[in-house]
Amino acid sequence: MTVLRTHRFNDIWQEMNRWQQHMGDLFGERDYSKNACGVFPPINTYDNGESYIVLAEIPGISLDDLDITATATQLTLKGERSPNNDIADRSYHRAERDHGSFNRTIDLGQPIDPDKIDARFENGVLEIVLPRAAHALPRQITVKN
Amino acid sequence: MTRRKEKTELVPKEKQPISSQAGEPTRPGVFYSPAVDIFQTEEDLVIVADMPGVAPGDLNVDLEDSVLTVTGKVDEPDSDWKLRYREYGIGGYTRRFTLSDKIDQSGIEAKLVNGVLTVRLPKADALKPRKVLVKAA
Repeated sequence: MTVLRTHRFNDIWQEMNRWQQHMGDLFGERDYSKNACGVFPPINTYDNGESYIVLAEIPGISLDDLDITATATQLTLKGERSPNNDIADRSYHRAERDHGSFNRTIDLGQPIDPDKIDARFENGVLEIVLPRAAHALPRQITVKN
Repeated sequence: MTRRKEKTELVPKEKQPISSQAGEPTRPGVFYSPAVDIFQTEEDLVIVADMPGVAPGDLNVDLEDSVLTVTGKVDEPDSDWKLRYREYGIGGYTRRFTLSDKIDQSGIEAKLVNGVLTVRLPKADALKPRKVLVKAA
């Protein structure tokens, strides 16, 4: 079956945005922050050759309220950021910090070794090191004469 | 103000870098404005700010001419790490608060736990409820 992608040319600005995104992709300047819209916690993903590293900004969460699970290709962060209700009688002037539950699954693309995952939480940033599965690591191939 | 119901889904706001229109930048690098809660109790005014990535040693809370400035530095990740996917920017945090003279400026306390800064500003004695003593004639 043929899949047809049609773009109706009904809004010039929409069309311009689409082109801008295409150009951004070509030059590696894509605005990734659009990915994060409405997803908590925001994550950054790194690769150091041996492992994937996932950083997530979760300030003020207690470790009892955080649940991390992983399979060979997926990482799931589940938890809840609860409001500080230690002082009952308070009147708010400003409330910008959000509270609530989150559940987020990240597709890693390449297989990892779920038994060797290392996670630490420091200064409100969660760092998860996910070593790539041994069979998925790039290896040198010698060509025989 | 009523707080949102508990157990709701967390829908965050993106970190907004501070534009140069908000005043000329005096430090190099990107700075974000941290999300804050400000509330009052009987004794204090409390400012709570989300500053993930700031170590207690990299935090500055300055008070000058009734302006409280909160600044935090965030270290860049390891340079060997190749960025694959990005949803948030890494940079410092800064935000200013103008205090009224109803605050006892000498009694301000700040603590930073798990990336959340709490600044406690005690109300000046003149504003606290007090008992009036009646002297005998």
